Amino acid sequence: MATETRRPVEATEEEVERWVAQKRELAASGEKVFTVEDVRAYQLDDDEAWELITAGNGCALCWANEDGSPGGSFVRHAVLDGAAYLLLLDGDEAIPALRHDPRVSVVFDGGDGIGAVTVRGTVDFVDDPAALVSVVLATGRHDGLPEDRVAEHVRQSRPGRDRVVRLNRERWVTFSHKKIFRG
Amino acid sequence: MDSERITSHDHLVDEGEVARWVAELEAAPASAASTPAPSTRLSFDPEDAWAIIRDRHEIVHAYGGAIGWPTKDASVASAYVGFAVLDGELWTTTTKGRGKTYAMLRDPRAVFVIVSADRQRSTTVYGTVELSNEDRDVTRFAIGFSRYRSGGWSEIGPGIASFDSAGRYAVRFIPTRFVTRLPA
Repeated sequence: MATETRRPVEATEEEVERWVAQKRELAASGEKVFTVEDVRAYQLDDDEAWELITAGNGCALCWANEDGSPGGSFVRHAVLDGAAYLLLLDGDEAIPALRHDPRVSVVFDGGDGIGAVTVRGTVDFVDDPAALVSVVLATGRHDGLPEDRVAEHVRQSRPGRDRVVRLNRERWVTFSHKKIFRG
Repeated sequence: MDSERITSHDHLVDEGEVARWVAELEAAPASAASTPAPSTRLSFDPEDAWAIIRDRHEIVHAYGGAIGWPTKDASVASAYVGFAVLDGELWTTTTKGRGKTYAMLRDPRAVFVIVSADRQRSTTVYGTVELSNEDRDVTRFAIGFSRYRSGGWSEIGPGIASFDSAGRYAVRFIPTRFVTRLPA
């Protein structure tokens, strides 16, 4: 690990004081400042959103637990037949939670400087080994793994224990970092 | 010229190949010895989680994660957010008028999902959030986040100005539990 490049980002007391003073002066002057408050101005179109989802190596799946608390984990996904399919590994807390309540919110992060798509919707369990195999093949090849590693991943998959869920989109929120930060 | 947009993984999967694999997996004896080893292992050690968060923050200068929160209808919502580690604590931000802000003020339970730069490790941080609209907290976050985003020490002024605006909250994430996925 290249520890020599590690850069802490702490702000000093003096810096904070200086910026607070500048902010108050600016507010008092009435000068308009570029802000990123309204992300609706930086949306992706549908093709751009699907491109971002397809290009990703995984997504952050969030669900509601029985006690109302949020749960979450990073899971792999593949886009097949026009829908996103998420791979849940044996023992994942998501499996019993989603059996109980299929409502989800999923963040597909295109990478820093690209953008993100957040999907609200539900999931359906696809209890078909073909779906599991398809998702494992797609994710391995999308990662650029050699074919012997892809085959190893398929052999490591556990039908009936690892699960695939289909994401049913009700709505999505998208934004592009490029559009936000180009100004 | 722009390359063609790829909006599915259909081209990576062949139906006949899938059928052959399904037949092979179904033919495998269902004994304990044949059970494949999982490709990931879970860690509940906070240090494994902080290693991902700090490395992402301080070395890669990547700045985003997904935060999830409970909604009024007992469901869940989430969003991609920037974060910064300040004085060893995880901070993010929101602004007045958003559903996320109202929801967090109503119910502080939250979850943060952060992935390593190489996408081989990920951590889920469970906890609660505390929102502050104090100038000092908001500005401190804006400075840290802007440095984070710029990857350097110069030209942070525009970044601070664009985030350090009226109605913005600094959100302190108070962890209670960490679940980290590591390669087996």
